[in-house]
Parts: sequence; structure tokens; C-alpha cells
Amino acid sequence: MQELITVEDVTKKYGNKTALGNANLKIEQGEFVALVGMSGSGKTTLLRMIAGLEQPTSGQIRQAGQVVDSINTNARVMFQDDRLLPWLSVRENLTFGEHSKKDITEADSLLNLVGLDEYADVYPEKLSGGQKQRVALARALMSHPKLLLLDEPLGALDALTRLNMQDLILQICRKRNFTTLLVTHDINEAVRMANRIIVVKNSMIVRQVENPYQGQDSVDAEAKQTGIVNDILHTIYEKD
Amino acid sequence: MEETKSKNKINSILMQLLPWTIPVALIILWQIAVDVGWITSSFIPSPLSVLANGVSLWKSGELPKNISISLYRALVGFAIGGGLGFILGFLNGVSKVMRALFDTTIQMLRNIPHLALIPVVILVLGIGETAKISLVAIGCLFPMYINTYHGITSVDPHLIEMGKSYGLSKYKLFSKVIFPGALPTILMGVRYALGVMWTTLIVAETVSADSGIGYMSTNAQQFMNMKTIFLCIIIYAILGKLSDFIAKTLENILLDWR
Ligand SMILES: Nc1ncnc2c1ncn2[C@@H]1O[C@H](COP(=O)(O)OP(=O)(O)OP(=O)(O)O)[C@@H](O)[C@H]1O
Ligand SMILES: [Mg+2]
Repeated sequence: MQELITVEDVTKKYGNKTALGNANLKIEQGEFVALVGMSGSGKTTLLRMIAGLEQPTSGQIRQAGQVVDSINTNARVMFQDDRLLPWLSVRENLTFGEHSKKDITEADSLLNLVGLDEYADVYPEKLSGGQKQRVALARALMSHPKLLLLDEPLGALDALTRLNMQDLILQICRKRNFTTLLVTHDINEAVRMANRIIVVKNSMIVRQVENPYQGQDSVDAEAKQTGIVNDILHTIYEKD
Repeated sequence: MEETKSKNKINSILMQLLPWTIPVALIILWQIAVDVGWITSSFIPSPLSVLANGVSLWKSGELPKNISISLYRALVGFAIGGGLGFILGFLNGVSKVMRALFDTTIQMLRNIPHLALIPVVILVLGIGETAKISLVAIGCLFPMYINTYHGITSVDPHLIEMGKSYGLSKYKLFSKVIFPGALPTILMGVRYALGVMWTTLIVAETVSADSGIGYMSTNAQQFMNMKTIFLCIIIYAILGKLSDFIAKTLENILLDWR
């Protein structure tokens, strides 16, 4: 296994408030890692630094050996708010208005993958919240990113759509062997999708849990997953 | 079913006609009032006589000549002022250095009502074409500047961040994210500038000119020619409405995603 992301002694401060303290983390190629923790614990801060949208106050982040010191265009962020461009059709949101045959073919096949081929020519305004998020997912997958950074991508969805989207994302990431970092509030979601779960608490990475039951839905595996969920919840709510 | 459908259709036609009932009724009333003699026609001419006057002035070639010279001044002034306003607004919107250099000055100048510059412009540029076109240009510059600048600087920063993070080139970022995001505000500026364009031209042509609709109107005033004065007012109204229509159509085409 090859190491893709290295987070080394990274601290991020806003003024004198520490948003993330002395974080260390390695993500290997092909891994699906989830980042969980309470609101304000520093999850988005870490993800934004890996995306190069924010610079660490101290420490270093590397992707495939290269220091991330400006916007990291080798990573694709799927933001919590869909950030679709309202003036472009769904397809153009994927291609950014590019008309080359290659781009359009790729866009159409991704829209097919997320089940939205009929909506290619529609403006985003006409879509439901869940459909918009699927478009945002498809856009993030354009041109095979080396790293997918998903910040609460399913936050705004109802429980059922959420389950479908979890399956969809997991399927795609496995089939295409993406490396993925998923930020989520939902521990169940983390344990269903990730092979490793990172727990952030009070701006610190406090724990990393391996999850051999990733993506499994047998009764037995689900029981094991529930065990892991409870274990993580215990860590998060434990008094210091 | 069928009956309610046709009823609905009639209703919708009636609803579309409704806004026109009052203007039409007023014009008819006006015609009658003059015909019956409630109003002296030398004071306020009847709509039909204004129309007849228009037709004869058109045939003599005087009206087409004056309309086209006014249109020319309006459009050239708008193109120069609006274009300059757009370019300045664009530069200040995207470049911090430009903003620091220009914005304060422009904000100060903006507070001078441009019509107050008429005496200065006449003294410096005389009463030729340059003077009138300059006035229109100055009038159109500020609304275009303000709206372009505002439009560009108030594009959702989240969208810009997304574009950068997705590796868009500077050109792509501008053409696909910033400009379309600013366009609704810019078009509001266009609409506003078109309004300013006409009022400025009316004043400029009334104050000093030897051709144009404004001149026709002042000239008619000296001969107490009420028919021509009314004709000019109506032409201004039509031209104003026309530019509003053009602005609206532009919005409908360019902002079809809304
Ligand atoms: N731009 C900023 N300026 C100042 N403080 C910030 C900024 N961004 C984040 N913070 C602070 O850093 C801390 C961590 O924020 P972060 O957004 O990483 O939390 P999070 O774990 O993603 O929370 P949530 O689950 O609510 O999204 C918070 O206390 C937040 O107030
Ligand atoms: Mg967050």
C-alpha cells in the first residue's frame, strides 16, 4: 500500500483559538477514511487544509510526497452546500461549459451513474436537494481525482435517500479505487462506509478505529458495526 | 370541463387587456374633450391632430432626421459611457490595486449630479455633438460602473472557492463563475443607464442644440406649436418604453436560468 496523504504535526489556529491541534494522520491509496466528531471539533478545518483552501499554522500536509501549500487541485472537494452554478445546466456543471467530446461523454456517463441522465440539460434550480447533491458528487468524480474529500455530503438528505447515496458513493469509490476522506456527524454512516474511522474531539485526533466490516450488510456484520458505533460514541461522550 | 377551459381562456385574455383600458379610455376622453370644446385646442391639441402633425412631419423628412440624430447621440453616448463604466467596474471588481487607485475618486465624482455639468461642458466643448454625447456618456458611466463593480464583488465567494479548488483557469473562473454571477446586477445597471441616457439627452438637446427631438420641442415652444411639443413628449415616451423593452428582453435571454 502506498501512502497518499500525510498530515504531520498540523495545528491550525484562528486568532488564538485552536481549531485543530497537533494532528497526525496517514491515508493510504484506495482507503476510505471517515472523520467523525462533534460540531466544532475541527473536522472541516482538517479537510480544508488537505484541500489547500486553508494553510496550517504549523506542521505540514503532503499529498503523494508533495507539500500542499496552495489550492490542491489534485483533490476534489464535495462541499456540504452543493455549490452548483445556477446558470449552467447539470451537464455543464460537470464540464464547466467545456464542449469537447471527451468531457461530454464522461459527464454523461457519470450522470448515468448517479441516476440523473434525464436531467443533463436542466438547470440545477429544477432539482431536489438530493438530486443536487448527486450532481455535486458526479462533478467531484470528473476526470478521476486522486483524492475525494467529502464534507457532510449527505447532510441535507432524508434517511432513505441518505442510505441510497451511501451505497452509491461506496460502490463508486470501490469500483474506481478512489481514495476518500468523508467528514460526517453520523457515526453509523461512518462505520457503514469507511475502513477506518478517525475520531476528533476538542480539536484533537483522539482515536483511530479499524473497521473490517466496511460495506457489509449481513445481520452478523451489522451487529459488529453497531458494536464499533457504540465504542466510538463512548469515546466522543466520555468525560475528560 | 371544456366550458371552464374556454372560460379560463377568455379570462386570461381579459386580464391581459385590463392594463390598457385606462390609457385608452383617457385618450378617447381627451379627444372628446377637445372636440366638444371643453379644452381649447390651441392650448392642448387633440390626440388625432398630434398624430396628423406627426405624419406630416414624418413625410417632410424633419421627424426621421431629428429622431435619428437623437438616437445617434443617445447610442454613442451610451456605448462610450456604459462601456467605460463596465471596464472600470470590471477592473476595480477583480483587482485590489485598481480598486485602491480608482474607487474613492469615482465615488466622489459620482456624487456630482451630471446635469450640473452642463454649463461646464458647454463652455469647454461648445454646443456641438461632442458636448451632448459627453453628457450622455457621463450620465451612463456611473450606473454601469456601480452595478458592474457591485455585481462582480458580490458573487458568492463559495462558488469562487469551488471554482479555484476545481482547478479552473483564470479565464474559466471569470467566464463561468464570476461574470455570470455578476450579470443580473450588471443588467440592472444597463437598464438604469438606458433611463439616464434619455433624460440626459432630453435636457442636453433642450438646452443647446440645432437638431434632435429636444431641439424640435424647444423650437416648437417658441412658435407656440403645441402639436409638435406633444408629439415630442410622446416620442420620448415611446423611445423610453422601447429601451426598457430591450433591457427586459436582454435579461430574459441572458438570464434564462432564473
Ligand atoms: N474561518 C474561521 N475563522 C474563525 N474560526 C473558525 C473558522 N473556521 C473554523 N473556525 C473555528 O474552528 C473550530 C473548528 O471548526 P470546524 O468547522 O473545523 O468544525 P467541524 O468539526 O467541521 O464542525 P461541524 O461539524 O459543525 O461542521 C470551530 O470552533 C470554529 O468556530
Ligand atoms: Mg464542518
